[in-house]
Formats: sequence, structure tokens, C-alpha cells
Amino acid sequence: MQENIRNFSIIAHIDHGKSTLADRLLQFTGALSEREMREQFLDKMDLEREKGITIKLQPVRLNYRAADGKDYILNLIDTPGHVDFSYEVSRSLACCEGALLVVDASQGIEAQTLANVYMAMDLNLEIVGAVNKIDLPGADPEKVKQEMEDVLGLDQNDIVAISAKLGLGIDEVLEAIVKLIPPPQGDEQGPLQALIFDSYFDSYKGAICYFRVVSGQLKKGDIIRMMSSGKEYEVAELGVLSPYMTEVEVLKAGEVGYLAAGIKNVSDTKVGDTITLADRPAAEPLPGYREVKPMVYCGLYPLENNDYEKLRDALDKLKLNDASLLYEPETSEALGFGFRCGFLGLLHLEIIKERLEREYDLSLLATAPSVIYQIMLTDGSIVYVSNPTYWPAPQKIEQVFEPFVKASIMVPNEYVGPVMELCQDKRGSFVNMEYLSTQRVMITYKLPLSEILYDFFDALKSRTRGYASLDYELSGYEPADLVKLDIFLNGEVVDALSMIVHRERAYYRARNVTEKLRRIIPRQMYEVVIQAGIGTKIIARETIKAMRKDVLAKCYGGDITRKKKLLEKQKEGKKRMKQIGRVEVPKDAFLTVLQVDDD
Amino acid sequence: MINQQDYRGIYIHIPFCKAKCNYCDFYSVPLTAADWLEKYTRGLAAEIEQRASSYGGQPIHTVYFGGGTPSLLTPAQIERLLTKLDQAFGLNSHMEITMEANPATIDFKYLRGCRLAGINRLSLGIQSFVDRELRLLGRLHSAQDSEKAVRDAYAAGFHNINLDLIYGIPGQTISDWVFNLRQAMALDPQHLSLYLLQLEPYTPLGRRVEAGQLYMLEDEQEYQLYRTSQELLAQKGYQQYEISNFAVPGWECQHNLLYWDSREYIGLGAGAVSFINRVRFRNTNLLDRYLQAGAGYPLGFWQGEILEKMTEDQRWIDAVVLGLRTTRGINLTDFNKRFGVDLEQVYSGVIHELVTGGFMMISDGYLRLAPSAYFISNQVLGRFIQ
Repeated sequence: MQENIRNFSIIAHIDHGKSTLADRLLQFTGALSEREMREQFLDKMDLEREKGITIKLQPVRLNYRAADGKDYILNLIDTPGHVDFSYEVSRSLACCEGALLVVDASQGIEAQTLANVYMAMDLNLEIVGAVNKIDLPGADPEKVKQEMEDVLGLDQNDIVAISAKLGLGIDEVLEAIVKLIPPPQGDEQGPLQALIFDSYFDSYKGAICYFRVVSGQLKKGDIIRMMSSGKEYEVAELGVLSPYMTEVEVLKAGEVGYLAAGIKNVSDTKVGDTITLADRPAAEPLPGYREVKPMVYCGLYPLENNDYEKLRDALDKLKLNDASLLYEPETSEALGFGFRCGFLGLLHLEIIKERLEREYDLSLLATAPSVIYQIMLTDGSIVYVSNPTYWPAPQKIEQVFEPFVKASIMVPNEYVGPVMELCQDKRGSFVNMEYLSTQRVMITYKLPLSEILYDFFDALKSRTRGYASLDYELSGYEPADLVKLDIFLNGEVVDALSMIVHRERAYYRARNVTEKLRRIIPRQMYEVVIQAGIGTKIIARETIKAMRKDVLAKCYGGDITRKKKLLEKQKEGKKRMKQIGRVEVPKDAFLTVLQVDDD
Repeated sequence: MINQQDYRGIYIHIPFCKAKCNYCDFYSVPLTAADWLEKYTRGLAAEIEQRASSYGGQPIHTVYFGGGTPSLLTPAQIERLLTKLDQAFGLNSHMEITMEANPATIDFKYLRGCRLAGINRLSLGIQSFVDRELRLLGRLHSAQDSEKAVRDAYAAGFHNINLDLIYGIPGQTISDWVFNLRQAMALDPQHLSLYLLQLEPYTPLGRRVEAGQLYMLEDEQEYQLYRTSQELLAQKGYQQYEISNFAVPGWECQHNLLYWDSREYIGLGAGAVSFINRVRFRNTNLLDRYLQAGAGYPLGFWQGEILEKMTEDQRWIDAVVLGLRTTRGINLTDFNKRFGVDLEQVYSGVIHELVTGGFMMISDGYLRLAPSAYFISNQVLGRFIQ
């Protein structure tokens, strides 16, 4: 049975055509009819289609009759392609025996791809290479194949050249998967061990888990036990995704599927947990997933104060789908009750915020993203701070440490200069430079994570005309000269706008932020004074003069309805504002002021 | 029993103009056929009869002929309409009967005719005493015509005269505006309406500004013009009684006060708006219906659109938003008696904040805007919308 199963992921950089290839595989194996095809079937969320990226994992089961005449079950576990989501990639990879590496025939290997391939190699996955987009004018499949051999040690002869868009070479890809990727080798008769790699909440069925059976077997009606908590449930529904939910009676070692077990409480399902059977439990859980730690934190606050409970419920539900999301309640003087949330990166933050707003009908306000700082106090103790509000008073700080990353940047050699310049600007220190081929260079820098968080990626792209790719990993904490910059509106500090900045940049940031606020805050009935300061020392100031004119000159019998509509519209407009003291601040202000635009 | 407070105003719309002004987006049509006025008058007479059968009974407080250009009507037509109104609703000799008039269309003889027909208040659309400004606005008269019109009006027996002026005209300086105000006051009108020019996008003026050929004044400049008017007029004994209106005490426009007191009104004629029983509705804009109605067309020909159907709450909020336009403000006790709402209680937070901020005040039992808030009154009034 396992002989005919192949479990694989696809690894590719954004835009290298992973989702298009996945669609083609579905189409070629008859999982979807022409009629059912819709662009990028596996990217289910609107957000994924809009942004052209994959965020959530979507396993799918394909039935394929190979050239050898045998029928195979191919389980494809799609993976996300953005640096923020490398954790999700690792979860997919851990469920596979092989990975299909897709590289754009005109772009070559990118830094992010490389990182994921190394991750797959660490897990002993077999790599099947495919050069995509060979139909494009700039395509050079032979050169890219050579690069894949040089850099990754793949055998050029095994790499297939395809065009997912045109459907060229898809059968060769399927054959390569069958031929090169080994079948799973779990013990079907052993105790059950099934690894949860994703889950989501269904309002009718409760929590739905996606899992890979590593050993043993699982039947409908079995009593399962979650090994982390010991809680037990009866399997109400068991099935596979082909690509729609299709119920099955049993899933055995090597297979991938889903289950529903009336699990009501979302916090009882832990992604990364091992499922076993209550009456014949496994001795120990499978090697756990890499524990992810959020890199960036920000406060999320409902614009309507009474939406707080709704936000909590929404976060609880999203958490089920997204183990990397962390949150805990916090309060802000300016914004009221909300949550401090931890994210993998800025894109992750943006996506979670948008999903909360769209899927749960919330209107949210996000505060300045921050990393976690390590602060040694004068009394020798150490505190960790991710919220500038809790930054200790300057006289109590002995030394501040901030997280640094080791960033690998891959660029064509003509952009080495601009990239190094950018890294220097961002307080980076040079580590290494390596030629991957005659034209391609891998530059390694050590950079403060906080500098990467804001706009580093955009700046990198614009200075290299889009050719650079970036990957980074946390390298540890290092001393840094940082201060807390406070923003005041009419003399009152707005805690939600406070930020931690490098001392040398403080004046620049202070002027930049106050000026941005002056532009974004509309004139109001009162004069608004915007100030930025370190401690009690004000270092930048802007003034928004009081509104001079907002009047309807004529209001007679025929004008009254129009007048009232005007006032009602005005009232509507105020809903997009957050009242801070007497000042109405547009909710965008909180994110806008943090975008650095110093290029 | 009729509540003595429940009086109504009548507004009659004359939607014709000789030519459309450059800043106007009101409903009016060029008067092209000679017999339209006569047909329209007959149409109005028919509407008066029908309206009286539905809405008769309440005493009528004021009558107002607006436009368009009501001074295109002949004195005889005016007299017929007033007679019809008297028969249908009951008028009396003391009530204010206003007609708007364009200085370009009137002379002594005409004005005398109007006076004799029963008009006792004249509102003259002077707009400016500077010919450059008049041309920019597309007015057909000159500054000289305006002065003559006012003198003719006095001679014809009018002793209650309003002059409309527009400020905030592109290029206008403070001294231009002061000149306008001095010219106006030199003519000794009882009443002055000073309107900030509002730019309407689909007007010749709006398009010229959009195209960058003309520039509107800055908010600050407009505010300075407004302040200047307030100071200058106060010195000469004109009392401001509404955001845009000033009068010699005792000569306030009763009809317009009726709007701001949130009283009911019956609008007659094409495009006219009525407010009765918590419903605000507009008559049809289709002039043909009126022109044909004069020839004996059926009931309900004026039916147009309902603008608002108010709940009890919306009804009194309406009264707040209108009442606060007057400098006197809202009498809190009367308001409570009339609508059963204690504003000080319902809006305690809002009122406290606005009073503390210097935008409102409460004195002698009245809630009113602070004079410094008139020019940003939308900001204040918006706080009372629920």
C-alpha cells in the first residue's frame, strides 16, 4: 500500500509559479475538471489571491496512473513562499518524503528558495528539480539547471523543464515525483502516531485537523488522544481532500487526511501535536515541530471599544489556524482595551489584521510594530520589553540589547555596491560575500531586526530593481544605544505612538513622525500641537491650526435635508477616527507614521 | 382645538430665470416661451386649491415668493396668487409677504404694482456693488442698477427691504468686501443676508476653478471677511440673528425664522419643498406638469419625491440643528415643552465639552453657539446628530 504513496511539497520563491503548477497537477490528474478549475485553486483565501501568495497550507490528494501502469496516490502539501512563513514551510516539509523545487527559468535560485531547500535537505527529503516558465523570452533553462547543480548538487539530468502556464512538461513532473521520491515507510501495525500540520475551525464540525499518519492506522469512531494534553475525542469524520472533502473509513501509515472529532474548544487543538489512540497509545510523541517565536509585536485595538470581546473570539479562532500567532490582553491609555500580538514578520501582521477585519467584521487599529528588547537594569536584573509603554526610565537602564539577524542577500553582482550601502545605512555589519556563480553573489550581513522590520525589503527591491532576494535568521542579542521616543498630542503622551529608536536617528525620526502626523491629522475645532520627545526633552514640534471654516451659509426650507445629510456624512467620517484626548486621529495614522521613507 | 403654536409658512417657487448665474445650481429654467408664466400661475392656483383641501386649517404665518426669479411674475399674477392663497388658507394684512427680486428685472412701476398686489417685504439679489464681481458671478445687473432698484423700492412704498450679498468671490480682498458692505448700508436696508460663495461643481464658476483659471479664497481669508462683516454691521446697528443674517432689531425675516424654529411649511410650485407631519418632500421638477395643470390636469400632478420621513427622535434633532443656527439659540424650557426632550440631559457630555471649549454657551435658559463657532458651526452641529 505505502509503495504507491508519494508525499511531497512544492518549494518555490514568490512568483516562480508554484500555485500555477499545483493547479496544473490537479488538472492533469483529473482531481479537478476544466469546469471546476479556477485560478490557483489551493489559495482559498481572498487575501491569498489578491496578494498572489500562499499563506495557509492546503493538502490535496491526487490519483495518478504512472507510465509503469500502476496507480499512485500523490499527496501534495502546498507551502507558502514568503520569508515570514518559513515556519509553515517547515510544518509541510515534515510531513513529506520529497519536495518539488520550482525555479523560474529567467530568475534562477533566490535566497528564500535556498533556505527552504536547505530545510528540506535537513529533513532528508528527496529534491525533485523543475525549471518553470521556459516559455518566457528571457528563459535560460540550461543555465538555471547548471546553477541548481552547482549550488544544490542536483543531477542536471533529473531536472525537468516545464511551463506550468502552458501545461508543458507536467506529465514529466508527475513521473519524476513517482520515480525519485521514496514511498513512506511507517509501521502500519504499530501504535498510531499522526502529526497535525494544520487545523481550522468549522462552525458545524468544530476543529478540523489536517494530519499525516506516520505509523499505525486511524478509523472513524476511534477514540483519539492528543499527546500534549491527554484529552480524548471520538473521531466523527475522517477523510481526504481530493481536493474536496471526501470521507474514508480508515487512514494508514503514510497517508494524509483530515478529521473532525467534535472538538469544541479551539485552544484544545495544538498544531504540531501528535495524535494517538486512547486504547493503544504510542510510547512517545513524534519529534515536535520547531517552536516558533514571534519576531515582531504590536498592539491591536478595536476601534469600537465594545468590540473587545469580538476581537478576543476572532483571535482565538485564528490562533487555531496559525500556531505562530501569539496574543495577550493589554491596555493603552489612548486606545483602551486591546491585545499585544506577536507575529512572524510585518506581512504576517498585515495579513492577520486584514483577516480579522474581513472575516470577523472588525475595525482595528495597529500600534507601532516592535521587536523584543532585552534590558539590563541598574540593579542587575534583566527585563524583556516588546511594548514601548513599558520601557524603563532612562536612569534605570544599564544597557539595552536588541535582536540581530544574519541576513543573506542574493543579487546579481552589479548590485553589490547599492546593497552594501543599504546594509550600512541600516546599522549592519558585514559578515561575508560569496560568489555562487560568475554573476550571482550571496552577501551576508548582521543587521538589527528592527531595521529589517520596517521597509528593508522594499528598499532592497528598489535598489536592485527587484533582483535581490532576502532570507534571514535570528542571530542573537547585541548591545545597542536605543532610546524611547514619545509622541505628544496637545501635551499628552500617546502611548500607542511611542517607539524605540537608535539614539543617532532620534532627531530624524522625531521630525519625520511629527511632520507625518501633521499631514495626516485633519484640522479640528481646536489647535493641535504635535511634539516628539525623549523623556521630558522635546526634540520636534508641529502645529495644526484650528479649523477656520466649516459652515453651510444657506439653510432654508429646501436646504435642510441636504444639510442634515452633510452632517450625517461628517459623523460617518468620524468613525474612521480615534479620539485621543480631544484630538481625532485617523486610524491609519498609527501605521503610517511608522513607515520609514528615508530613501 | 388648534394649538396656537402650530402655524405654517407658505413658500412659492418661481423656477424661471432670464439667465442662469455662474454660481447657481438651483432648479431654474430659462424663460423661453412668453405664455409660460401665465400657464404656470394657473398651475400654481390649481395646486393651492388642492393643497388647501389636504393641509388647510392651520393658520398661515408668512408667505415667501422665491426662485428662480419671482420678479418675472407680473403684479397681476402676484395678486391672483395672493387672492387664491387668501381664499384657500386665509391670509391677513399684518403678515410678512416677501418676494425675491432681481435688480435687473424691476423698475419703480413694477415695484409699485407688487406693493399694491400685497407684497410687503422685498429681498433684492444685489450680490455685489463691484461690477467686476458681478460679471464673475454672471449677474445681469450693474452696481448702478442695484442702487436704483433700492431707491425705487422705497419710492414704491417698501419699508422692509433685504439685500443679499455674496462674499468669498475669487479675488475679493477685505477692502473690496468692506466697500460692498458700506455701499449696502448706505442704502439703509432693514435687513442684510451675507452669503459665503459656495462652489458647486457643475456650474460655470465651478468648472473655471477646477480648470485652474480661478482660485477660491483660503479658509482663513473667508473667515476674515466674515469677521469683518460681523464687526462692521454691529457698529451700524445691525444685529446678527443667524449665521448669515443681520437685521435692524425688529426687522428679522419672519419666514426664515419659521424654518429655523423648525415649523412646518407648505412649498408650492415646481421643485418646492414642504415639511408637514414629520415628512419633508419635494414637488416634481417637471415644469410641463405645471404648465399643463393650468389647462385642467388632474390631482396630484406635483408629486415628486419624499426627502425624509422622520421618527420622533429625528424630528427633534432636526429642531436642534436648525435652532442652533440662530444667535438666540434654543430655549431649553420651550424645547422640552414642545418635544418632551431635556437637551441638557440628553447631550450633557457633548454640551459640557463644547461649552468648556468655548464653542457653545448656556445663558438665560438658552443653548446657543458661541459667536466664534458660527463659522465652524457644522463641526458643532454634527455633534448633535445621533
